[in-house]
Amino acid sequence: MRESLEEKMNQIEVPTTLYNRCRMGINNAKKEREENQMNKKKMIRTVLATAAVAGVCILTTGNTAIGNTVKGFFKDVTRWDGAVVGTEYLQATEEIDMEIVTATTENGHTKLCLEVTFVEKEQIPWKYIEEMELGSYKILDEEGKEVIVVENDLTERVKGTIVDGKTQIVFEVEPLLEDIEYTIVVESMYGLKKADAPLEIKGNWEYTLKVQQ
Amino acid sequence: MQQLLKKAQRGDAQALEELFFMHEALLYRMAFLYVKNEEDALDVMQEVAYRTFKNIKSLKNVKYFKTWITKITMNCAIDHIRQNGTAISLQSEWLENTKQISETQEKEIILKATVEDLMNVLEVEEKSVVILKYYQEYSFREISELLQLPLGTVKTILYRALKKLREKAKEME
Repeated sequence: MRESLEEKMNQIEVPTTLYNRCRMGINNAKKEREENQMNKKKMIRTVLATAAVAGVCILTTGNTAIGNTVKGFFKDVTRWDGAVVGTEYLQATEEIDMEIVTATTENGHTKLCLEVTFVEKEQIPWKYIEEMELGSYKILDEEGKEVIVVENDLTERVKGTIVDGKTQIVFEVEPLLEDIEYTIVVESMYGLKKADAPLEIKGNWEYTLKVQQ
Repeated sequence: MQQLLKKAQRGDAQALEELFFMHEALLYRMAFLYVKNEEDALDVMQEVAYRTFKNIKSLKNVKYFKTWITKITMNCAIDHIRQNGTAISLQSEWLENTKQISETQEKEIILKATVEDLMNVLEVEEKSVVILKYYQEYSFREISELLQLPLGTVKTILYRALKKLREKAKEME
């Protein structure tokens, strides 16, 4: 049966331009990766510079009441030809609280429960979000070495329904050792609302976790 | 092939490119079945290439590369159809057609079906199941995991697709 269907599918002509179009997609992904790495470096430099300035302000003015005023913002996502294909929400770190509430071993995997809370649930975009999906994250060991890296796993996204600005997302990872203090770094999540495209929400959330028996 | 897969997952861009281009014709033909024209299928493939390279680290086990890239292609094709405003009934009401079709009848139906039938007669989820079952030769269980549908639903969709193709073949006789 495969041969029969294969023959029919082979009737669909593959255009000679296919290779170049795929090549464009690959080049865009590579370019984005390089830009992300440069932006990370720039952000670290900016944060360090800001911290240095803040430090100087405290020293010179004695004013320690410096609140963190970094707020999230929307940014258009554009395609290779400039067309806007979506929106993302950046710098959302201070607008979501996260905590690993349980970490246990089950059936040869480590099961984690991540509690997500909107700090200001009545503000945009939080008041419109109905579900939250986990996006990119990594887990580091005590030496800061990456033991697990997940980048926008399309095939296995996990999510939780928002109730009163809060949800719990349960997911499994490769088995982690007990009695080691790991760090989970979440870099993106997706806010979902029925009939709307998912909103990618980016930030940098870092929490420790220890697997219990 | 295994060496290529391992190199690709370690971040060897050359290996990943080679792997991708080994599958591009097959993936293009799948995309074409969904979007029904060359230009849209090329758009889909560009997005597939982009997502493959962006997300290779999320592939947990290299032996599932083909399954993974097949799923990306289907998702991109369906996203493309959605963006262009065509309604897709991902949760359409299944006909309760659980009447079994024999293997002989299945073979006959697939033999008689044309590419045009596959493109124009079947709905999106029906195309997905037919392609995965008869072109990629996945089992029902594998299809159920890939599409995240219950096993029974996958079978119902397939039998509904076969019934439509059979009726179309009868019309042409």
